[in-house]
Amino acid sequence: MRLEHTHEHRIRPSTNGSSVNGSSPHTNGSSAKSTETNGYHSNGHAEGAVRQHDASPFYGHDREEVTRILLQSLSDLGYHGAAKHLSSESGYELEIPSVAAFRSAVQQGQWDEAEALLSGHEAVELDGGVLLGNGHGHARRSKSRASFGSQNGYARQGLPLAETADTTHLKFLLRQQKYLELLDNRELNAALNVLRNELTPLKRDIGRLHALSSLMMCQSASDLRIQAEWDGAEGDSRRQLLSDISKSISPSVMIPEHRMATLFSAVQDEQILGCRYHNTIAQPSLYTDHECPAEDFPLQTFKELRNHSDEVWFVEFSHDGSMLATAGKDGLVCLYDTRNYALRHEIREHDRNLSGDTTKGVCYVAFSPDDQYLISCAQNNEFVVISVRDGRRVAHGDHFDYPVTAAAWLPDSQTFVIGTQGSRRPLGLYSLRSAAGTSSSSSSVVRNNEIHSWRDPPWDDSGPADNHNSFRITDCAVNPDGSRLVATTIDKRILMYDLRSRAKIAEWAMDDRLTSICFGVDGAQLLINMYEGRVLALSAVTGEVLMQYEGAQQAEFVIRSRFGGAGDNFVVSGSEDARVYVWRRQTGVLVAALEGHAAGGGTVNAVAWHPREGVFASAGDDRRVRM
Amino acid sequence: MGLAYNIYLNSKRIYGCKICKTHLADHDEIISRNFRGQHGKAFLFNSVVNVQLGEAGERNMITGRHVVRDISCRQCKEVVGWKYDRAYESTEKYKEGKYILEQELMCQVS
Repeated sequence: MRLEHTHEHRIRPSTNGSSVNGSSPHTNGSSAKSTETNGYHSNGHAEGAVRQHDASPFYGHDREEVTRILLQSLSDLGYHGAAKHLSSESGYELEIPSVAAFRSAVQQGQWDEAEALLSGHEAVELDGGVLLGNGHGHARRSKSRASFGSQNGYARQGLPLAETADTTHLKFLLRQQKYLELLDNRELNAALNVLRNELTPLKRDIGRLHALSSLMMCQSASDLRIQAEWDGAEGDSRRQLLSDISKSISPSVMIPEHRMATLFSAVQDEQILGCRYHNTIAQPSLYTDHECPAEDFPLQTFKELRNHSDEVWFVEFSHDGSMLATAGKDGLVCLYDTRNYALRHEIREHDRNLSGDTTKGVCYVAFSPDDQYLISCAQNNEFVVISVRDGRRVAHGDHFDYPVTAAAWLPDSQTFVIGTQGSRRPLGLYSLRSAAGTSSSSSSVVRNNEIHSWRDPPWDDSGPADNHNSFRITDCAVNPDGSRLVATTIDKRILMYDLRSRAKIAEWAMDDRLTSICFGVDGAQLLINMYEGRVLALSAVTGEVLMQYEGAQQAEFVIRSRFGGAGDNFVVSGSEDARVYVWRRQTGVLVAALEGHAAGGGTVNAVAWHPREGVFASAGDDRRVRM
Repeated sequence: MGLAYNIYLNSKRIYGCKICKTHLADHDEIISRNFRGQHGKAFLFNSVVNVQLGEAGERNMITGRHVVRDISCRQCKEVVGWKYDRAYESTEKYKEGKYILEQELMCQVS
C-alpha cells in the first residue's frame, strides 16, 4: 500500500498536460482509481442498507466522531479494506457524497463542477459524473455547466461551510487555479477569458489580480511556474488547493486532514511543555504520559574550578564539547579539558601594556566553529587570537583606544567580528589570513587585519577630530549559518547586519541597556539580557518579544545568558544574587534557581551549556567556575 | 564586582579621568567655573558618569558647612572630586545634588 502523507488520492497522471478544455481522455489503466476518495461512499453505500447507528457514546466521546476519525486514519494509513469494513459495520461514512464529489472535482480539475458544488446550484447533481474517470477513460472535463450526467438522486444545497468561510474567497481560489492551469497550458485566450469574466467580477484582492494578469507575459510554462511560485497542475497545487478550501468547509462535514495525528501531536506537545525537566529531543512514546524525572537534569554542582585569582567573567564550551575556556579579571584565560577538567593551557597574553591594575581583564572568549582558535577580548584595548593546540598567539589587534567587548566567529573559522567600545572602530570584520593572501604560517603573527569596519556615520579622516558619534558595542553575535550579524550598542539599540552584503538590515530600540545577545541554534531566536533583570527572547526576523523570563536580577553588571539543553529547550542565565536561573524556553516557566556561588553578593557573570552532555558551567565573582 | 562597561558620552568636549581616560562629564553640563578645590580650579557639574560615591561627611568649606561625599573614577579608583549632599546655608542650596570635578585631576577627551 502506498503510504502518502496526504489523502490517498492517487495522483492523476495527466499525461498530456492539463488542458481543461476537455477531450483529453485519460490513458486507461493509470486513472484506475482516480476517484478513490476518502470515504467509500461511492461504492454503493449510499444505496446500501443503512445500518442502525448505535448511539451510545464511546467513553465520553461521540461515537460518530470517533468512528469517522478512525475511518480517516485507516485510509491515511492505507488500510482500505479495513476502512471499508469499518464503514459497513458501523454504518457511518467518512464523507457525505457532495463533499466527496467536490473533492474529486477539484482533484480532476473540473472547476465549474467544483464551483457549483461549493455554492449549491440546484440544477446540478452529480452521479457517476462525479465518478468520472472512475477507472475509465472518459474523464472528460467540460466547461459547460449543463453537461453533467444523470443524477444520483441527491439534491444538494452546496457544501456546508464553516462559520468564517468566505465563499467569494473560495471561488477566487478555484478560479485562480483554473487560470493558472490554462496559462500553464498556453491557452492564452481561454485564460484571458477566465481572467475577465470570472476573476475580475469577484472584485477581490486587486493586487493579486494585477499580479495574475502580468503572468500572462510569461514566455513559457516553466517561467510561469517560477514566477507564480506554482508547481503546475500535476504537482501538489491541486491538493494544496483542496486542503486550503477544506479548511473553510465545516469540519463536521469534511474532517480536517490527519485529524487523529493532529490530536496526538497536540497532546504530546502539551505534555512536553508541561514537563519541567525535558531535556531530550527524542519523541516520547504514545503509550504513556510523558514526564521527565529530575535526575536527568543537571541540578547539582559536581565540580568546581578554582584556577582564577580574581573574578571570572566569562565561560564557554567549545563547539564539540571537548574543551572549556574561562576568562577573568586577572587577565587569565584558562583552557580545560572537559573529560577530566584538567587544566590544559593557561594563557596570559594580556599581561603587557598594563596601565593600571584594573585595566586588564578578559571579558570575552570565543571558540572558532572548528575549535581551532580562540579569541580573547580584553579590557586593555586589544584582542588576541590563540591557537588552541599549542597556546600560541596567531593574530592580534590592538589598534583600538577602548576596551574590546565581544567577538563572534563566522562559520568558515577564518573571519570574525570584533566589537569594541571605541567610536572609531566599533564593529569590525577581521580575517586570520594575512593581506598577502598566503595562509598564516606558524611563524608569523597576523596583526590588525581588518577587512571591513562598520560605523555610523562613516569615519571621516579629513574632518575635524570629533567624529565620535558612532555607536559603541556591548555584545555581538553571528547566526549559525553565517548570514547575519547582530550587535547591541551602548545606547540601547540592537543592530542587525547582513554579512554578505555588509549592509544594515534592521535596527531596534529597546527600553533599557543591553548586556548580552546570542542566537539560538536554529538562528530564529535571539536571547538578550537587559538591565533591571530582564531576559528576553526575541524573534530574529521581526524583533518582537516572544517570551520574557523573570527572576534574574541585574542592576549594574554585565550578565550573560544562553540557550541550552537538547533542542535548545532551556534558557540559562546568571544573575546578581549569586544564583543561576534556568527556564523552559517555550513556556517561560522557571525550572530551577540554583545556589552555589558565594552567597555574599557575588554575581554570576556568565553561563554556558555543554553542547552534548547535560552539563552546564557558571562563572562567578567568587573566582570559581562551577559545573 | 562583576564586569561593568563604562558609560560613554557623546558631545564635543568631554572631560575624562586623567589616568584612565574614562569619560566623566560633558562640557555642557558645567554650571559654574568659579570653584576651588584642594588642587586648584574646579567646576560644578550637573551630572557626571562612571563615578563611585564615597562616604558622606560634614566639611567646613569657604562657603560654609556642607555635607559632601568624595567621588572617584570607577575604573582606576582615583578621587576626582566630590558631590554636595546637603548645604546648611540657604544661599548654598543650589549646590545640592551637584558634583565638583577638579581640573587638575581631569583631562579633555574628545
